[in-house]
Amino acid sequence: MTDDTLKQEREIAAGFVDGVRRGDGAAETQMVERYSRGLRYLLRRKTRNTQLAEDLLQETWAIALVKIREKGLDNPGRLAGYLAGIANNLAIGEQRRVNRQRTAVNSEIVALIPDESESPFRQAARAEICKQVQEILADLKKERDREILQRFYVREEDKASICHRLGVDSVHFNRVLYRARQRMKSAILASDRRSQFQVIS
Amino acid sequence: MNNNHTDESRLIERYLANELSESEREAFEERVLYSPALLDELEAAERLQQGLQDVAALEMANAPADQLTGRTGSTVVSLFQSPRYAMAASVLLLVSLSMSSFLLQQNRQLSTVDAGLPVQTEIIPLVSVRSASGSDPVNTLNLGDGTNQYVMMLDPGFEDYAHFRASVYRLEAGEAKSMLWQVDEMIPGYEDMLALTVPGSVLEAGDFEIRVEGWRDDWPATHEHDRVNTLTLRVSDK
Repeated sequence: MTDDTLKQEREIAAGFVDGVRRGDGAAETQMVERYSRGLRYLLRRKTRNTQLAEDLLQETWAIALVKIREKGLDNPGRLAGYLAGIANNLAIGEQRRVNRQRTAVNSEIVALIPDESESPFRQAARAEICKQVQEILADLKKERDREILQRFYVREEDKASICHRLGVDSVHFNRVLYRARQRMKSAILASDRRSQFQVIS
Repeated sequence: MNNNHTDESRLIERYLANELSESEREAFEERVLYSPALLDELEAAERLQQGLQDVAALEMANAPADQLTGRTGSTVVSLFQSPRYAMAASVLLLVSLSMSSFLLQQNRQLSTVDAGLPVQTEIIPLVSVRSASGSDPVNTLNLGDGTNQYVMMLDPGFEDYAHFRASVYRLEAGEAKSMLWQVDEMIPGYEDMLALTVPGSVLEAGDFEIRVEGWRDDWPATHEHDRVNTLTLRVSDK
């Protein structure tokens, strides 16, 4: 990431905060569109529950929008960090609480956030992911490399113990993970492209 | 992997392994929100993890009883020994990336490009199809006026080789008949991919096969290259 990218983000974020403070609905919409995907990922990772992540995403925006509209932010350029902090705290709170108190939400903003957990294609998408992973595994000639992926991603063992147990060095470990991830990224893009073609036809 | 991608990749892996400090994690997660490229990497890792878990669960459900209560580590290994993983076909898409620069590889054989003339270069996406013989190639290319130069991004696979060789063959009746272009001593560059530069003048309407092979320096000269990847390409008229 370059300094220019960071500077650009700070400017964009400050623009959003200023727009929301002025009651600019378009700014609110663009802000939600820009950051929702990342927030959704963070919440999914922290909660391990897609539906809960969607709920917390809506709650994150409800909290953030109220704060920004009424008082703005001390550091508008750090909007992304502020949002990530809210999401993190909500996820931590959810872990501690049994009964969660719901925050009043802005239905107009909530309506902008697509609820992916209700997608009718979720089961099919998961099956396709499974198939994509099987193809990646089939491309790995060594069982050792398949075991690297399995131990790291499924059993969540740490890198040092995996390298020690399997007798691989750090460079090879990094290469296997990196290329597996790149293959998955390509497979995702290919799947998205096929989906677009199907819709068009 | 080049240094920038190594550093970024290590940071991603450390984040996924929860090895970042509190301040590092906060800075990283802030960047996740506004960096689509970083989010692509993380979501790919997330799907990879999900898929591996599902595959492991499927294998566990179908594994014989003696494999479920075996030696330490044997259950893990046995999950991936099933011939089911020898898939008959797969499709991988190598995305055409917008680049401000790319690596130029040395070409030991035919070179019809006048290095003194500026040449319009086009980066094309490729899809690797492992089987499904008889079906139309997924990769297509329109030569236009035939003066372009094409950079084909190739996947170097999972094995570690000292360098790679890419060869372009003309297909006739589905068989590779003549080699038209070859670039040797290629090493992965941008996004850890191989960049094969092919002048448009080499190509003509028809079907082509692109073979990617790997070489290790400790092999004797008589050793053959390892086949890494094979792609097909259909070229349409100028």
